Amino acid sequence: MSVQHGSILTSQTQAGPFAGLANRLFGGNLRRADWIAFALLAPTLIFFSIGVLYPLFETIRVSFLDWTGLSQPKPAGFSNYTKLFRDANFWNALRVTLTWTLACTGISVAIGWSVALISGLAPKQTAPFRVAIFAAYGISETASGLMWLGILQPDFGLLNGILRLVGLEGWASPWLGEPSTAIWGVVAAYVWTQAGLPLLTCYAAIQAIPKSQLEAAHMDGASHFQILRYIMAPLSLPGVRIAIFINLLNSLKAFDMIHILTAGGPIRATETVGYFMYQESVIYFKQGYGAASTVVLLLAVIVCSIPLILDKASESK
Amino acid sequence: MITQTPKWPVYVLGSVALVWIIPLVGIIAMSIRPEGEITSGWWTIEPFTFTLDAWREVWVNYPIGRAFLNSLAVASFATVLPVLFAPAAAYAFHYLKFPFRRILLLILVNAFVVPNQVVIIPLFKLWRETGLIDTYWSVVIPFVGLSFAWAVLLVKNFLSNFPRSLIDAAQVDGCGHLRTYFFIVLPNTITAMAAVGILQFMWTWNSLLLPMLFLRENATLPVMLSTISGAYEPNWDQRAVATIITSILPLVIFLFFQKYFSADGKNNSGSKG
Amino acid sequence: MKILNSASALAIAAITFAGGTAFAAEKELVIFNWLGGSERDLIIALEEGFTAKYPDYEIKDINPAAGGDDPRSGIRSAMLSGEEFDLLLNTWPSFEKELVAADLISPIDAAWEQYGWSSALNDSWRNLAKHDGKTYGAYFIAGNRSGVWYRPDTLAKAGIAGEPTQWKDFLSSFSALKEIGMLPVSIGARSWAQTEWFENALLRTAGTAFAKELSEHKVPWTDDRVKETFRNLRDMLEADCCAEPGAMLSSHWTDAADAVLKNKKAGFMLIGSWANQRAKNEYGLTPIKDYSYMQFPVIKPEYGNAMSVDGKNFLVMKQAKNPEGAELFIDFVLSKEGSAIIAAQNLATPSANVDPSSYDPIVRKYAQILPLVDVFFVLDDLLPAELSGEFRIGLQKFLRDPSDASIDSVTAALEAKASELYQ
Repeated sequence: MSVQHGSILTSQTQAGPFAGLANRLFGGNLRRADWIAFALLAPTLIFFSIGVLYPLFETIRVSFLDWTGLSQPKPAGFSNYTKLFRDANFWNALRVTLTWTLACTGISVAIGWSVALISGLAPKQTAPFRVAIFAAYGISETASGLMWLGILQPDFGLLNGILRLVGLEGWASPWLGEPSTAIWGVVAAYVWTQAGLPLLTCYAAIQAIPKSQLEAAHMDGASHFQILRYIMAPLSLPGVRIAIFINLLNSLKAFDMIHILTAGGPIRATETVGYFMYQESVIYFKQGYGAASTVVLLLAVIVCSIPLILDKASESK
Repeated sequence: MITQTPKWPVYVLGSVALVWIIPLVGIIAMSIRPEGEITSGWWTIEPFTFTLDAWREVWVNYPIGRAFLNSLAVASFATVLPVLFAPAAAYAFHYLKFPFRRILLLILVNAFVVPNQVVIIPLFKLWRETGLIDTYWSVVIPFVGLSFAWAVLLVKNFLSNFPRSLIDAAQVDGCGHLRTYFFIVLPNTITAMAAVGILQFMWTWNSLLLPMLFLRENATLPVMLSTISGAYEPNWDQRAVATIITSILPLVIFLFFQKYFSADGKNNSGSKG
Repeated sequence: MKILNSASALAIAAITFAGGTAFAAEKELVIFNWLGGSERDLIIALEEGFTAKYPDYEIKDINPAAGGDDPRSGIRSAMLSGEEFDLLLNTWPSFEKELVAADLISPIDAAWEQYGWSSALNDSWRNLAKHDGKTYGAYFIAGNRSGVWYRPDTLAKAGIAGEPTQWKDFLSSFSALKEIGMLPVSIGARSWAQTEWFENALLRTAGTAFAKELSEHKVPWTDDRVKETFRNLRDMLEADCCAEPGAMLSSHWTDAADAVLKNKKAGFMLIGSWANQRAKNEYGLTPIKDYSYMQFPVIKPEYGNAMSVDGKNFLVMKQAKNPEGAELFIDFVLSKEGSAIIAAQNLATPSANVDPSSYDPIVRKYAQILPLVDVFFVLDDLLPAELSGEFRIGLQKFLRDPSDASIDSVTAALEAKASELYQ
């Protein structure tokens, strides 16, 4: 692919009208194709710079300041960072984040993908169910959190109510009050809100499979399960990939749900890095310290996502 | 579509969907019962009193119409811009080679993890200095900026399934990249754009933090309704009403656009391999 | 809520009527008011009352719709970004201190003398807002934080004659409550309501003077009187007062209020005077007849007079464009008219200008003892936010494991945090 593509690109190296300026700006030899690339990117880069990059640079700058409460900020060198790595609560938050993101992403994508695959076998009849699952995606985390509070609450919660009803009283538990189960309660609630996205992307990928291909397989005597396993599953992988990506990063940012259900507790059992950041910079107003934890989280995410993005980048050439 | 539709998927998915439907029923139940009853669990039957008090209270006490229009304006701007621009950027990242390509993509995509809390104070200052506070732009700009992270990747991902032969053919025919983009790629990325649009609309419609801080007179629906619960009065019934009011539009939009997700693969016909 | 609103509207109408003709507004007063719900209505009613009395003033009410659980973050963000206002509503003495340290608020001693606010507020209230010898705020709302709420019919059913006002009687009342199938005490320890138990036990075990020293970190958290407080609470846990720790750690004070006042599943709960609003407006109960409260039971007789309170005041900003107007507003809030508006909204004011007969019976019950007792501001609001976070989590740990070893480790962790923060 890259061979033919490259040949097209190199054939278009005549200078554009602003090539001179661009060459000075970028210090290199910008070809016409580069110009087109930047023209296509320009709107994106403008919004991105104001709305994201600028605040991000501010955050990095603040992470090197000792800035607590309403006092005047003082330069602090790397002290916020060294303190962060000695902070047991930060390490706890990292551990919780790892469990949280993996569980939320894994479970929500597994559910969404399975539902998409199964409903691919009977798209019309299962449409209302897809809509119901996706509808949850349209409800704010705050509202879903309130609903799940009603399900997981120890005395009047629906879950314990059902357990008592079917005679499993021994299983009834204050789900959100025990440090060992609290995180799973919040994961369940979060998966409930997030499963709609993998369903959407996977189902779209399945729908994109040419009808003829499925019909041919059916003619050849393939069972429903075989069609599901050997045609729909592999061909819906792009949908799975994008869903993993979006849900992973979304769960890293998750805040409202945790805030409503457990507020990071009990005893920090559900305190993710996102929540830690919120607490340090918003509640304790340790701006510098909170900023440092943001930067660390960001670096960690970048390091983890390099393989993903580089793979995709090389794939496309 | 498969010629013979089996029955079992309906039962399996029906029972899975129950988990999603029950809480949704719960919200509706909460909105039509007095708060005294729902605090012991919305699902309790005894006693069951039907009342529209919560709906009336919300309707009387909050200027829903205006907030709805504000929300609509913010979410629409914040949705239309990425839908227009993300495909262009995705095209550039996917088909073109240019300096800083990888590093730009890396930065762009990772920005997705930037929490809203990070942008608050720097942008608050910037908006005050530029007089943009309490204008739609003060929330639209960060919403659009933050959306590119996933929107570009989503479209780019879609493009990796796009038949390369079409593009190659166009270029053999003498189309430049701009023309290829506008006439070949753009019309065929509607599915991806619809996906970007729906997700972005839902996220921006429901978002609370930035509108809460940047908008005053132009408060959006979630912001206005967030004031329903005072520090000491949870007002669960009215909050349920608020949830329903806020969720209706994204749901309708989704139902309307969902056909783009179930387009029978016509874009890809005969070009898969 | 409706009734309250129309009551205050009536009061405003009366004032407007008395105040005479309205003039075009000339002076603007900007008030940063972060409250929500019925408390916000009160501030609005006060503002309307003020402009009715002083028609040449116009009030701009900044309400940052703070939605979240700590409004301080919204206030700080607004200040950092250069929001301009004259008066700031405040309820945390620790935040007041932060504002003084950052040189953002002005002392009001001159106005205090000029308007003679001492006739409205006694010195113990003035001292609550004193930092480095200067007064910064005048409290206009006072709340009781030592109220142990119960239903008289529950106590009657359990055969408990009269309020168990002594700690021993309180603990021994548990068995009677359990006999009628009730949980003796409901504690909502999900986020902060557990601190109320510790604070009140501390005041009753070691007195207000010690609590003050502890809040200023002049005594360490590892002091034996702190541990003694924990041990007293352990006696309560060992008397089988409460649900399993997980149930406590997953419930809010609202759940405790539901269990005690509405569903009759538990005997007692401890929470601030705002529970009155909930019982009245949401459960539709009649005060005193259906529900009531007693002050936290006496542990040591010498500290039987201590009371935990909260309050709200207005602070005058250094950057205020209209400091005279700001002081005039404070004067109005403390005046007869202002006090009447506050009383009409079912809240207590420490101002002597209030007519106690206009209070709701629940409010009157503590408003009457306010001048007689040894008040101490609620400890959690005196601590730096970060220590308060550790304090809440420490108490959760204690509820799960009240052993001596656990008490030692919890107090050691608090002391470590405190010595890092106070320096």
